[in-house]
Amino acid sequence: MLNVVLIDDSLVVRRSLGRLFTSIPGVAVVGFAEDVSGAIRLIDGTLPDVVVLDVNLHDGGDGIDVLRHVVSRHPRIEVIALSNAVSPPLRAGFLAAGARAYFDKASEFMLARAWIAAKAANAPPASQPARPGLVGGP
Amino acid sequence: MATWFDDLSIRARVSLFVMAMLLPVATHVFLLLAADLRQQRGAALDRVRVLSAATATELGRELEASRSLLDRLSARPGVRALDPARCDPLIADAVALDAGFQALELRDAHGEVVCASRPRPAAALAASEAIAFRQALRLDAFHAGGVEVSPASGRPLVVLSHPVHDDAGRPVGLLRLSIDLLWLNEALLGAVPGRAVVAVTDPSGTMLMRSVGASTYIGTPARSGTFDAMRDRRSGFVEAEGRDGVVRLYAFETIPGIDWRVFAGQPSEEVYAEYHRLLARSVGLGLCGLLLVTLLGWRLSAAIVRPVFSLERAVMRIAEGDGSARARIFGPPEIRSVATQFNRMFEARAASDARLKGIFESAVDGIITTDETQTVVQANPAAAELFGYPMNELVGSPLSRFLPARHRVRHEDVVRAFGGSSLSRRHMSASREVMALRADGTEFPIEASISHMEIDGQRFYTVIHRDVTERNRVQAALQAGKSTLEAALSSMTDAVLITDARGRIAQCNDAFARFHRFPDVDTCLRVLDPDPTIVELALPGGALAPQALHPVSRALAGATSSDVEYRLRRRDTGETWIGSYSFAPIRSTDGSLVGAVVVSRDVTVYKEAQADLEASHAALQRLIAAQDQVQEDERARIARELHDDLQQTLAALRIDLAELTAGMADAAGDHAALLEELDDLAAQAIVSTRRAVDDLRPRMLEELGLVPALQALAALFARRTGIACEVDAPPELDHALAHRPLLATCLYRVTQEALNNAAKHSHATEVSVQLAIVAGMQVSLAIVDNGRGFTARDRHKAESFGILGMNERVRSQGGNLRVENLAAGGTRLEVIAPLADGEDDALPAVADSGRGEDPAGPDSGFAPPFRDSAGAALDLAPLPRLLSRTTGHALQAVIDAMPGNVAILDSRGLVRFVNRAWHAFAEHNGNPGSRATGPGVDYLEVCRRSARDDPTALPVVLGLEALIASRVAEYVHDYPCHTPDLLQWFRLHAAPIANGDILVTHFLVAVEPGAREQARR
Repeated sequence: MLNVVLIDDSLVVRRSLGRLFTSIPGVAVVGFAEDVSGAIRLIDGTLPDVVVLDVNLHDGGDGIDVLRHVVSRHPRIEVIALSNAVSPPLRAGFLAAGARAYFDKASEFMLARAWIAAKAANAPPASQPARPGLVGGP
Repeated sequence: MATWFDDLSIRARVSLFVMAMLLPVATHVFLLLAADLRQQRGAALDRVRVLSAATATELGRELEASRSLLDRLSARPGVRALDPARCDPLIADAVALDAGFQALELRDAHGEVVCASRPRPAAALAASEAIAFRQALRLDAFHAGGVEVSPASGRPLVVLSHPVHDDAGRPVGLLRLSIDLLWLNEALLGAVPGRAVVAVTDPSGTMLMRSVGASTYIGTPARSGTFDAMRDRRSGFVEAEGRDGVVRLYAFETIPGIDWRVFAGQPSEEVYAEYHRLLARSVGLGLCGLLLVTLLGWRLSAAIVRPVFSLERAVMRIAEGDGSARARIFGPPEIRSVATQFNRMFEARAASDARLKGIFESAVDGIITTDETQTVVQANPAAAELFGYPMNELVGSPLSRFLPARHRVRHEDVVRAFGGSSLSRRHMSASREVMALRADGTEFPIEASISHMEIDGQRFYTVIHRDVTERNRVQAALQAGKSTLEAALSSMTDAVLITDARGRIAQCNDAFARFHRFPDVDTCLRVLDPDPTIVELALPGGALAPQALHPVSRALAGATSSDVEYRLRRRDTGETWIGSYSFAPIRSTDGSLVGAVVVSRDVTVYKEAQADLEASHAALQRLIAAQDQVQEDERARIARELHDDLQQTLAALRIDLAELTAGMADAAGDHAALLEELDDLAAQAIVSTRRAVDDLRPRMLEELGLVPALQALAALFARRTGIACEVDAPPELDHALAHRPLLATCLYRVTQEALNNAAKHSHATEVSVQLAIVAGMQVSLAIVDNGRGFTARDRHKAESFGILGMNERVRSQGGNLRVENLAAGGTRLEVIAPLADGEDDALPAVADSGRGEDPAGPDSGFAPPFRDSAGAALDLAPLPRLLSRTTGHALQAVIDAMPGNVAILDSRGLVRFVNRAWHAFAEHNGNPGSRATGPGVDYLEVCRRSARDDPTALPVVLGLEALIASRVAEYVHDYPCHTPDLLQWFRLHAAPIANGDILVTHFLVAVEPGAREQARR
């Protein structure tokens, strides 16, 4: 069973993503957090296999802080970024900081689901699109 | 105090002096001589007295011997008794001694001989004898009788008688001793020297003895005159002429008892010989001395008096009019000196006379001298010219001839009255001007002054005339000019001050007084003239202006300027105001500085209004900036809302739709299409929202800087509009803008707006965004499109408020925005803004003032182009700044007006413009290469070509390339450019101006004569 935590400041997004990821066989969404401190507590407490991380968190928190925490404390845990902020520098910044993938929340969530599904099936994850467009769809 | 001495002539004084000097000497000599003479005379007298005394003594002794003999005999009794017997032996014994020459007898009272020494006839006494006998008897004493002649021998003899007394004592007889005088004479006087004479006389003056001619003279009476002279004296001296005619000096002596007198004489000549010799010598000596002294005195006085007389003669000759007469220089040095000085004085006087005459002859003023009757006695050529008469006619004319008839009578009286006054000179009239009459009958104004003097009791008047026609005319013109000037000045509203060359107030107008806060000009001058510092001048910065920077001082230093501002303050009242000054020096026709004119105007109200305007504009700018901030904040908030809420929701919607679609895959085929459509709508909504968010809140600007944000913006723009958009920016720009986030935002927003405008109006197919750092201090942003440009009407359309808004936004950051149509079509929007904080005014101000001092310093940086400094001199430094604000056709005019050879290159090195001087230089130097270097030519290529022949051109190529690549802010290169006639050195100066253009200026920095010129020399 692949344990996943969702870190996102939007309740509706958390709920929808939770449903989306839970529907993957072998994947269990084990927790949610909406801000940096909650996310760190959650990750430290549950030690998930995968963290799905938003870039902007509640109360102005920055997702990259969570990423850095995970990379430094729990190198085994894999982080994918799923955000509405899609500027290439931001994407590059997250990937450089240790995120396994960076997906556009509004258009690439299915890719994120596929990535997690592959992970759960011990299969190689779906490859990152080479040059994701700003506007895209499944 | 005049005494008799003062009236003495020099000669008399000298005589007196000599006499006074000689008197003691002469007295002394005289006394010596007198003593000598007396001694000599005494010696001479002694010689005769010795002779007489010796003779008298001997004779006296002889007589005494005889008397004592007779006395003894008379005492003998035999004698007394008259006894002849007894007496004979006695008497015989007694005369035995010398019987020959003596005879002794005793006679009784009757005269009868009692006894006798010599037997001779006892003759009775002769009658004369008898009388003498009785007389002797009566005498009853020893007695010598007179000369008798011996009856026997006939020889003269003298009888000595002595009475004989009887025992009763009665005289009874006489003892008589007869002595032969010749014998006695021989015995006593035989040894007398030949020249001497000794004589003896009895009291009656009868000669008894005489050493010379005794036989002749004895018995004769002595000369009565001589004898009388010594009658009363017993001894003494007498001088008498002897019978032989020889004058002799006699000493005489009376023998006591018988009163015989002995005379001893010697020739006076002999006796006084020594005396007379001495006397003659003394007198001769004295005369010689006197002569010498007189001569000396004469010479002495002559030495003084003659030069003096000569001087006197010279003076008299000069006084008589002989101007060439001079004193002869001789005599003692003092007198010579006097004469020399005298001559010098007259030389000087002659020179002075000559000068005076020269002045008189050459004087511009007419000079006329009249006598008492006011007839001209002397006139100078100027006077003749002035009155129009020939000189000979002028002299002798009455003065009234030169006066208009109406003035003549009065003039004469006035002159006469003046002659009687104590004044020695005055002007002819109170106004100094009188009218005069010329020979041709014209009247003209003259200024005349008159003086009078009296020479030898005659009064002369000297009148000096000056024709003042011209002066009056000039004065009138001057007065008119002055009045005009005053009228002009008083009508001026600007304060006008005219000073002399030392800065003292020469003239000012009412506005000047008002400007300095004085009620009127008089008060102003009374206060300001003695103490100009009562009004303090301060520079606009507030520091007191030093004296050298005061407008008057600057004008007197030769500077001309206008609209120079000073802050003024009255020290006494404390009033302050601001004056705008214009000033210039006043030069005379020969160029020398004679004063300054300073015009000032009170601009306090204007300055305050301007300051208010500036303040309100600044406030507006701040407001806009604040508004911008608020707007940005609001945008950020909205963006956050959209992002946090709407986007999330839409994302969640799509996720859920995807889930739903997956879940319903098998079930409702009909609904699949609908679901897909829903998902598309949601996806579109997300894209729109994202764009809105990005527009509202350029997160990249904050997070990554301006350049990436603009690149993103350009990419978005290109994608959205299909218009190609490129961003060209130096990589260091983000660092330079790091501390100016508001400026970065401003530039981002301007770009955003400009791109929007380009998309909406330009019909462009390409847009380029160019960012550059200009001169290290400014950032330049240019957005250039290739569209249709904008029309003048576009500016006023509603859309142009976008430009207006951009402009305000840029100005709030201290920058400027300009929009222009490009010649090739399209629009160019440009922003230039300082990289330094816009609030900091000090830096540009300092840079500005520094520039003024060192206009051509190649090291000095460039001021921000948008600081407007007055009086932009066309030196190099401000040129890029100036040109940055000049566009298109105006640029050509501006560079034409610039000194030096100017070209403007574009960013690729192509020539855009060259000025007239550039063309002219190319023509003049006949360089076909540079003639061809007109607009459109690649200047770098030209340089590269010439570098093949001329290595000095290579640095220029490299320098310009560096400048184009923005590696250097400025490039300066000095190079020679010689012609056959001139050796010239030029300086190439290249600096960027706006739009990436480059200003290239060549100007001459040094020139020398060329080889051909030197060869010619």
